[in-house]
Amino acid sequence: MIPVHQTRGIRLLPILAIVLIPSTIAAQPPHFTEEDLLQDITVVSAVSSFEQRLEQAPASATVISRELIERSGAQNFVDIFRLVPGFQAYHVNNNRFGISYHGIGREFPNQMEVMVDGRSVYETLFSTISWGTLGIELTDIDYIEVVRGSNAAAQGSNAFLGSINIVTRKPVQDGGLGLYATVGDLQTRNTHLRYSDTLGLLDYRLTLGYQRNNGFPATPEGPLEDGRELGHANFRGTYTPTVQDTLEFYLGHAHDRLGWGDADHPDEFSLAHSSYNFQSLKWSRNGANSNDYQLHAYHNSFRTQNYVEIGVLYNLLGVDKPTADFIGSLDPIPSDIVGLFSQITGLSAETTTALLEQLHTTVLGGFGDLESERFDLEFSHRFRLSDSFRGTWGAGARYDSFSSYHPQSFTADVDESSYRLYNHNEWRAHEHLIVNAGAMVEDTHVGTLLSPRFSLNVLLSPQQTVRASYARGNRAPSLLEANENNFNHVGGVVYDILRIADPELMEEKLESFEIAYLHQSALPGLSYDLRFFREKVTEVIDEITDYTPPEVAALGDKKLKRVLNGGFWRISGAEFQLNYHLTENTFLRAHYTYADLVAGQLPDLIPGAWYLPKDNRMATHSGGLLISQRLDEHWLLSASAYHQSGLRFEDGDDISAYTRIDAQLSYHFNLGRSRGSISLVAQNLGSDYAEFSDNNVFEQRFFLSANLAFPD
Amino acid sequence: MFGFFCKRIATALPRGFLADANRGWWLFFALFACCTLDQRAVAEPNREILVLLSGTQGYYRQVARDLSAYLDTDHPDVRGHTAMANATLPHLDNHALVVAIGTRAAATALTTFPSNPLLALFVTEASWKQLSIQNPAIDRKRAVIFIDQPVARFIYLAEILAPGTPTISAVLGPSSKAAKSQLVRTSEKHGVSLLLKDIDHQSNPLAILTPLIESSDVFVALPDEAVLSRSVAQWALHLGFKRKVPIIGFSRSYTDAGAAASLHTSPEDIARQGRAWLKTYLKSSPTVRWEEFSPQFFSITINASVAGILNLPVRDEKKIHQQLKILERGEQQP
Repeated sequence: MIPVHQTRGIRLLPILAIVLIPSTIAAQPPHFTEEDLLQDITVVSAVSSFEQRLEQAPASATVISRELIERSGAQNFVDIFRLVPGFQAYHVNNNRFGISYHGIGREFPNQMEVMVDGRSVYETLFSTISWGTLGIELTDIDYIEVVRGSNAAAQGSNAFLGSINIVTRKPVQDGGLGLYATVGDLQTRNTHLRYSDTLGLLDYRLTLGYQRNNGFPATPEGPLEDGRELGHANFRGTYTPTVQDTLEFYLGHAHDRLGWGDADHPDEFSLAHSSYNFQSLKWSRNGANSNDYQLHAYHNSFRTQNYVEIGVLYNLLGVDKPTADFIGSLDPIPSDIVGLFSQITGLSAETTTALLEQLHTTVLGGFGDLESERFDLEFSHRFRLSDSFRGTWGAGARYDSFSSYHPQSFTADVDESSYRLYNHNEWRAHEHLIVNAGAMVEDTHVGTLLSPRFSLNVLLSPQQTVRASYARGNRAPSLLEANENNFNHVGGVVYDILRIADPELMEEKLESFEIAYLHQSALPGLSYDLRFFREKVTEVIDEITDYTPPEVAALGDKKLKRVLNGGFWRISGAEFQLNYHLTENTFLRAHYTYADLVAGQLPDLIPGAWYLPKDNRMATHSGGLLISQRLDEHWLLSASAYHQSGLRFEDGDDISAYTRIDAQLSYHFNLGRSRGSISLVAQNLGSDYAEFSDNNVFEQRFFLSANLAFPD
Repeated sequence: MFGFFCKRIATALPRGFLADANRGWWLFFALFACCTLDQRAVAEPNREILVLLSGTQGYYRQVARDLSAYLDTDHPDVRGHTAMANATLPHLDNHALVVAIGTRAAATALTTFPSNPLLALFVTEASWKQLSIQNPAIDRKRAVIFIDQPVARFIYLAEILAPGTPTISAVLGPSSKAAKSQLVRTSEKHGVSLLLKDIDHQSNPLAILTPLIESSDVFVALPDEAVLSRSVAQWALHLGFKRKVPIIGFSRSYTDAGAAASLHTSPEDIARQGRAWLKTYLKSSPTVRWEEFSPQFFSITINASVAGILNLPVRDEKKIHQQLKILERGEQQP
């Protein structure tokens, strides 16, 4: 007799068999073919969201390796992006950077996407990148992928003109403890430590950093208080539960105390206190037949505060204290006094009464309390349909919120949800022809935006490629641009009008075309590319000055800056870059850009406005040369030159052409199992020059850096 | 054939004809000549060859180009065809040779031209075994030149890059574990320490690779299924670089991605061996072998910058190639 439970077991067998058979079959390894042996192991991914060799990619790209960063002696991101053709990189203040690809050089460049490990760090607060609070050190960077040309088709709205993906080092790439310190001019005192280890099955890397400097030297009008004190912590963890799955965690926090202001008005500088934090979780699964999946969720939060006591209102109105005290003691204020002030200010009697009641109020400037948050979730799938056809598609959702509070200025609380769907395909139509086609569709607060891109890559030989590419891009206005309503008021009385966004603000539009030639020589280590481009941007979100604003009354000049789709620009030109390892020890990098910009505003949109040409907002010529020689196993010598022709910065000054020469001498050593180096970096060995503003004088600077790594 | 011929002649001759001794000798020579002629007729290869490609990838095309150039130059009498495995195939004589380049082409050849002689190139041993199970050889001539290099060569290369008695590590996946005994044999013979760990799709690659690479002087990445190899490559390259342990890969792409060196079979290597086989086949030599061959030739690629950073004792590809051949020759001598 069979016990009951055994009977049940036997009955269950066929069911178990049905359940198990497919999994058993699935568990059988697909047979191992020559394709497994010949698979590509490549790295570049930012251009089309999947791994492509440069000659296959639909846009021009530059990869800035860690080695290049080290050889250049770069101290910050401005130094790094001077190495890339087509880039304008400058100091707005000593610690506020303007970095943009093409277009108009301005205080807040807003047409380029920047990602750190695939996480967008584009801030809606200022519609730009806050480079200082990214929370990473240059030594955290493994490499940087720069897409030169519109990448909206792959990375969305903000990658309108180009995109940057900063890839940080994986925890497994470094072991043990690393200590780094830099001292130098501007009272620079930077230090950070990096520690990598394993916690159970989790590999992690932790960076703690502190940076301090006093900013640009004093001007004849007074000191520039644009120094910085920054502290940050950054954690990256990697967990690989199976061969196919990888989980990556990223956490970071930065706290920044930064001197902020317009260098043309040194007396108006004030401190901005910012804090930034992010959390990011990425799950990647490498499937069979090159089917790879990724789910990425992250959250960014940025808060900043800046208040400046401008003075007491009566002082600003030119009223002396006894008079102000006298008026303040009157209740109610007699109509003849109100009438007198009304005549002087041009304000109504009612407004003047309200203003006189506030004469002892302290007037606050600055941007107040600002806060932005972003939640983003994206799923992507890379696939290969055949030997000649592969691609990727993805879908994402994003929630952005922005709030501003200032008791006497701009106050807002807005949010936005947006959704995106993209696809990019690469078809090897022929042995010598690769066709790339892709598009991004975004559902934004200004409607549904479509950004397509198409390219033909003709592989003339294994070394030579010619690419023709066409892209259209759309950039939705940021939350700030769409919602700014910025005027200063005291007790309900507006005394200065700054900016107001057009309620009908819509997306900027771009059309770009390029023809590029890439050469990867049979000579070891030589590669260069030449790119001819033509870009046309319309409906540019720009500030047009309205001299007769109808909505509000104000003291002072009554000028109102209206944020509207009132600008345009066309740019055509050429870019060249070359990397050449002349010998095992000698490396040379050169790049050059010629850009012909035609830009301006459409005055017809506002009565009384006039045409403002902006053809000089980008340097016509820029280029650099870096040569680096390893003298022996200990010594490394690098020298670089960078030239930029003159330009007029939007929100800044007319800046003359300059040539700058930098040099670096490094000594590398071993101390037992520890390795270290000492570097002396000299920046601008020639004469002084200015960046962005006449008062931002870049003099000779010297930095001494040392690092020591203790392996685990 | 010979018996059949004799019987026909014997029945055709008048009675008593064979009794004459001279006639008997003449007949013997005549029969011998016929027999020889018959042998030649059998051994004379069909002068039609179909080169079948698995896909449009450059490596398949390169092998095909090499073989076509050889046939055009040295055997202009051969009627050659070239076709893609997934395209419309030409009609072939049953005795025409099919040269299949890649697994898909071999599979197509086995199913579409089941009775034709076959030379399969550019296929892995594992995929050939699977194809052979699916299409058992019944009275059919098959030769195959594998793409996967013998694992012993990886050990020789490791010895060259880390002289002395290095500790060599490797992970064995579902496909590469078949090579375990050969790895162990070669390493024991050469007195090198071998650290092996199994890995499969459910393994934690970092947990396996980290201690393995940390305890070794050289890590050998053996070819396995793409999913596994990609994961091993990603982590092994990072760990190797961190620990200054050279990684030996199995493809040019592996070297480009950061392996110190790679040992692989290039399309030129395969084409060279394929040409040699075809030469024997087309010369009607009875020595043509219908069997499985390991790749006779190999290519070495070195990542100069990684080799420099790791301070490898030999960085010249040709020199390493020669050294490896010497080591291999020494191994083959009794």
